[in-house]
Amino acid sequence: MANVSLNSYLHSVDEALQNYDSDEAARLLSFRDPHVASPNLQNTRADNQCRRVLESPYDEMVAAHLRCCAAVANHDFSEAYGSQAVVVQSFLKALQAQKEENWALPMMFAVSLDLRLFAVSADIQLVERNKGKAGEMLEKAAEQLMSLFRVCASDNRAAIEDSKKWGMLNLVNQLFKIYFKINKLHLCKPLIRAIESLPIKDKFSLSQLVTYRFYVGRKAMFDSDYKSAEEYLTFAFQKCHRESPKNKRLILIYLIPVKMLLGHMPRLSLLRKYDLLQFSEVTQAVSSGNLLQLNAAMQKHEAFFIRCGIYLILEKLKIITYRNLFKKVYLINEKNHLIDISSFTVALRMMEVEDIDDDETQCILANLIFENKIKGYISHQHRKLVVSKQNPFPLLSTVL
Amino acid sequence: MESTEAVVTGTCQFMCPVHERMMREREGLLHPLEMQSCIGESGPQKFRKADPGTTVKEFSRPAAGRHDSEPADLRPAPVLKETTTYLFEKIVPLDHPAWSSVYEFVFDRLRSVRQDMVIQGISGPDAIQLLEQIVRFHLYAAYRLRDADISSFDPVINKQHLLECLKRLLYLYQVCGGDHRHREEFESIYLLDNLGDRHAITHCLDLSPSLRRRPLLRRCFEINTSFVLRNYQRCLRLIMGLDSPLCLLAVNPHLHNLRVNYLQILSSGYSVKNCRYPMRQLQNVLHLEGSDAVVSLCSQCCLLDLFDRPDSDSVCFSKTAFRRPEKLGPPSGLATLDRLLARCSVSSLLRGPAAKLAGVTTQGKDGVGRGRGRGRGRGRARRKNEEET
Repeated sequence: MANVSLNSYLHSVDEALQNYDSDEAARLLSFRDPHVASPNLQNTRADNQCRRVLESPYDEMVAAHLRCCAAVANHDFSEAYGSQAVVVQSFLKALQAQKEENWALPMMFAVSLDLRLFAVSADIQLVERNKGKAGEMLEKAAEQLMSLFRVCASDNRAAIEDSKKWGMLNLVNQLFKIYFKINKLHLCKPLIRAIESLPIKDKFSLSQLVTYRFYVGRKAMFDSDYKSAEEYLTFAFQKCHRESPKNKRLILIYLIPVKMLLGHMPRLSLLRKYDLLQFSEVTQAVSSGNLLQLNAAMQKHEAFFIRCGIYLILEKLKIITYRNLFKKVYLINEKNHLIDISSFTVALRMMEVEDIDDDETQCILANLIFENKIKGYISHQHRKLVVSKQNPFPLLSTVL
Repeated sequence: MESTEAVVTGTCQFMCPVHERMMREREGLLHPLEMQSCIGESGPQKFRKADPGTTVKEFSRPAAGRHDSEPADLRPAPVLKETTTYLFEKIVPLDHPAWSSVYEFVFDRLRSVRQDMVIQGISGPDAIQLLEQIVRFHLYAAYRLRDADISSFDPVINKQHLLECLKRLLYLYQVCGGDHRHREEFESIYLLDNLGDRHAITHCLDLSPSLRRRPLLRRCFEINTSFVLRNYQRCLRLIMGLDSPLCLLAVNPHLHNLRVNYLQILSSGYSVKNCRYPMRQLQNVLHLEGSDAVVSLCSQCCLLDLFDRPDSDSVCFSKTAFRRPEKLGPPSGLATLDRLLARCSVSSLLRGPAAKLAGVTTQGKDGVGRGRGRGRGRGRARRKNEEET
């Protein structure tokens, strides 16, 4: 296929379309297939040949695909993006014309995937050449994907087995990838609502469901909704194919902080298995209430945590670390239910918390009481924390 | 699309294009601040004639069929700089009884400065300097007009424009490369203006480590994380220790909300009957000025019953009694900030330390020199004026 001639390529496309063989057609339009490397197909002026063999609007679509092949061969990704956008537009026309049939969805998946990937490359190239703003092409790609999404979502008349609604989740996942990349998470909300209201929402393919829940879980994490984040990410982690360790690792990068915030610390063996030992010191520090070690670990792996977008979430582990440290102070005081505020301040000072004083300690304690992580109250007159005689430091997993 | 070459370069050498000046004079559309004046028998009098030295191009919305890119109507970067200098030196310091009318005038004229910048595709150091000045103006105006009526000053619209300029400015810092003198301060302003906002914090984390480790930016980052972790004690302490007036201007509108949050945490931590918390101490931890402010805040949050114990010197915290006020009032003043503002003139604050003839004087000298010259007297006069009203 790598050296296929233009004519035989066009006839294969035609045959696939005539037979409604969307998988084959998708392959013939995908940049994952070796045919794109064929010099015979890297043709910018194949419109007439396409028109002779193919029906409209597929002729435009394939002609644009061939232009795109040429652009990619030239490493011109903004040109490639432009051509791929025409491919998607022509495909959109075809899709709109198809009533009560959804055989073309695999083709849609192929062309929209390439659209997004070219937008990513085009953005990088444009920024390098100082010709554009980061994320500009991706935003345009998102608009195009949205127009496909609207066609799929509004296909209400077809019977469910012929409905284009089966294409929605794939597009939503593509859009999630874009919105996360350009940092516009608020745009995810209407998409999530559209999917959650579908009767078929749990019947999509497992791989799509894993991707979907991965992103919804991440979004919940950023919205500080840790319970649902845990639920979604756990599903993604458990159902993710065991042969995709890279994806499993990616899920863990978000699942681990969420679990930690809910009071579950990851085992060292898990961290080792997925090459995530960056978390091990953080875990140790949090569970032993060692603020000093936590700060050091955060600083040491700062670049990694920032790159993954979890720095701020991990910063929130400080609250749990305070709780664990304070519990130690309580234990050292032989579980006396009256504890001097100053003894907590001493503990914080030992952890080298800058400029700590009793006022700040009281603020931290008040916070822990506010979040039900400590049962008790502060007496200002006596400068003491008075904790409940029963279970003053409830298990974290029972608190949230 | 960001293009490196300008689409068109203006040729207008006045603050207002001749064409517009004549038109507005003819149609009676001149602002009082733009008219010629002379001293008559009964004090200064205004004529309905335009003064070329004081008329400034108005903002007008782009519309279909209008030619926005006529070179004769556009001011090149140096003229735009002169225009902002004029506005900040001669107009902003005016002791108008209703300063909101001065604000309205300057706001509009700065908007047209931005418009000229966009049409000509001015970016780079010129754009950075202009945007820095415009951001300073919006910050300052929000503070000065904090008590103004909504009909004369809309804080939401002001904030919108502030953010628009600030975001553009941060973007220009990013693409223009090199070391920018005020970048640290404006990155800090962005963090404080959006206190606790995830986007702002993420933006800061994406900056280069060397920039992030600068003292002011580090402090502002810590203010944000303390806020997110609800360590309001640390947050307030760090804020009160800021010595950049612009940073304080940016964070001031958040203080009210921050104090209410803090009070909520305290109400929960100290929630026990028969235990009382002294007002004086509360005033200290909340960094409030005057005991009235504490009493008023506590009663707004339903922690004090003014009818019951009007002269109470302590408060009994209660988790269940605490109520968030439905409507937060306008931001209050800040003594630290007032002190800093009194130390320099408005125009030198807005124009920035580097404003005086490019790079001849050092930063410190410039600030002090200006402050001692005209600024101080003027600042004092203004404050006095405010006290009287």
